[in-house]
Amino acid sequence: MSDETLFTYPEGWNEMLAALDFLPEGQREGFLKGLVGILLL
Amino acid sequence: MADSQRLYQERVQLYKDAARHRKTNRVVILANIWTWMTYDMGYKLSETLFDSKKMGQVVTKFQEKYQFDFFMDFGGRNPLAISGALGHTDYIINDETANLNINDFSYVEPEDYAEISENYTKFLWTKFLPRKYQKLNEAGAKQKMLNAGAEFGKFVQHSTEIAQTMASDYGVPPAIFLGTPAFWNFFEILFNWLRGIKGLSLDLRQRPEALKSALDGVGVTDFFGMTLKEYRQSSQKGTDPSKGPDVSTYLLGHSILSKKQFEVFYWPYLKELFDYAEEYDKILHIFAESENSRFYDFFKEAPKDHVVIHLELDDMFKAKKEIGDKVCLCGGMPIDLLYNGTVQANIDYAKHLIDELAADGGFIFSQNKMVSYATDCKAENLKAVNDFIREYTI
Amino acid sequence: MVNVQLLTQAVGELDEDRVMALLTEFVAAMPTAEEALSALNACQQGMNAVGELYETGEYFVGDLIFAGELLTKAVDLIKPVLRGEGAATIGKIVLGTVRGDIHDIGKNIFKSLVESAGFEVYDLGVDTSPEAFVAKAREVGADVVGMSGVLNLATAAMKNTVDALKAAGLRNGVKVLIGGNPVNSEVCRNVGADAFTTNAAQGVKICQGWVK
Repeated sequence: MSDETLFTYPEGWNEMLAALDFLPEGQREGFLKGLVGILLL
Repeated sequence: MADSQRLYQERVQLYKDAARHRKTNRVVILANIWTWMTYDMGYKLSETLFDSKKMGQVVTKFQEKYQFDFFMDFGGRNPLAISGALGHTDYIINDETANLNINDFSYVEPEDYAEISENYTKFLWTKFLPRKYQKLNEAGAKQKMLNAGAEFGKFVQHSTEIAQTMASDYGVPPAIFLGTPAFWNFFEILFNWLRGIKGLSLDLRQRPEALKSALDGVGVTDFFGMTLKEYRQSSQKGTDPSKGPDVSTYLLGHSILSKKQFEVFYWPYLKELFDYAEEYDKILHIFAESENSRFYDFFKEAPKDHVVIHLELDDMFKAKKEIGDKVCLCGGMPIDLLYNGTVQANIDYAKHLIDELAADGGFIFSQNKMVSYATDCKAENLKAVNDFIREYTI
Repeated sequence: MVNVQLLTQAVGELDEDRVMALLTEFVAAMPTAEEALSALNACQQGMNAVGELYETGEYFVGDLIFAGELLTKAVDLIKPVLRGEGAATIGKIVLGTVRGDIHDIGKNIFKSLVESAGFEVYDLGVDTSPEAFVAKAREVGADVVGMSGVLNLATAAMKNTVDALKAAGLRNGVKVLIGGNPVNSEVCRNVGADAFTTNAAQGVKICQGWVK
């Protein structure tokens, strides 16, 4: 998947989750939601 | 027991006693001090806002000097390094005045409300991020997100370390902002970060139903995608013995609303928090910016002894008369006086506040406004007031 | 010919659809410049009603922001048929958010209300230097200098601006009004302003009193 389609849902979102492979699978969604939340600030 | 441990417990107890309207021998002091801390400790905002290690030094040095009981913020409010990894911020930093201004913004278009209420995460991912962080539209976006994620990880780790140091070395319980679960009326998130004051003012008049359905669709929520409804399900009854408040909320965008609008766009969501506090026997800490007297009828609906309200510009004595036996009031010390007044005038006013508001419990002492800029406060006044309060028996 | 009473009422009630419908129909009928002027006056009367409803608490800040937008839209419709005819001005105001502060919502609310009251407004925007206030006040022969700010540090900038007006020899010829969150009677005295307000509608009344 290229960068142009990263910000699609759910495909790009899932792609980003997969890229967070330094985290256990169960923690990735919470982490990404947290990151997006803090990027509101 | 170590001194800091004893202090920690004493502080938590003082906070809870105040919230419960129990008489105490002294009043608890909450630091409503934000970027001013950096200025006072001789650092530059442009350093500390991007370097959480330096921010940690600022917070601990600051506590050594002033010995507060509680803090609103341990310097985590503007984690600019995370958004910095994406090459954008709405903030403008001025080191000379210790001034942090925010640019106008709107990342929500009127036609987005339907999507927001249907799938908020999808909206944030597909619309908000590429609109706010335009570099994400270029090549290498995934890597940039990973870099921001790494900064986020560091931020969480460092915030945890600061909180641990403040607890173990200084006996200070978790900060209220970011250290206490915060649940927001989605109106606030729109007001502060997504739609802006002007856009929302138009929406209130031009598309009230769409706005309302987005507030209902997203619900009362934290920053990290958890709603209060979900949080309730994992809650145990009773207040947490290791913290002052159990949950917090912030009233900022209400400042543009008339009483009638508040009833529609705010009250149902605030009521949800009140109901949670009552049903689960929790303590809710509210920070209410601006002048709030037109909303006292709603505040009076708070479950007695479960809610602390920090009022910014209100006449505290009038507030005490009108809502004081229902909620614990917080705030009161005018930053005008802290900057312009003499040491004696500051101590006299602090004494007056405590004598009038804390005699039968139900008052937490703090600065009336968020102390942010160089000209918001004078160090010698702040120190004299804190030294006085710690020794002053009610 | 527009129904002046209906238009005034629609603006006062912030009924955007009705205001735009009335004005669109009016403009399509090729009105005279004089008729256009009476439509403009009707809108201004409506804005006065908005200011009064704000003072009673019926409307709040969000409504004033909306009212400012609505008035701008209405004036944009009327302007082409005014053919250069303007409403009579009752005074000149140089207005700005002071140095170091970029909050402009309060300033813009005041601007739309005071323009409706018949003042000619020279808006210097945000983060305005004392020198810019002085230069504009001199250039246009201002009756009033209005300074706005939200941050506490704005009061120091207000004082610097008053000092600059004095140094330029302009202070005696103008009235100085300060507005925004941090102002009160003590700040007003320290700054050396003639009046202060935290309420845009009240600010308009103060200015009207000065040019009577």
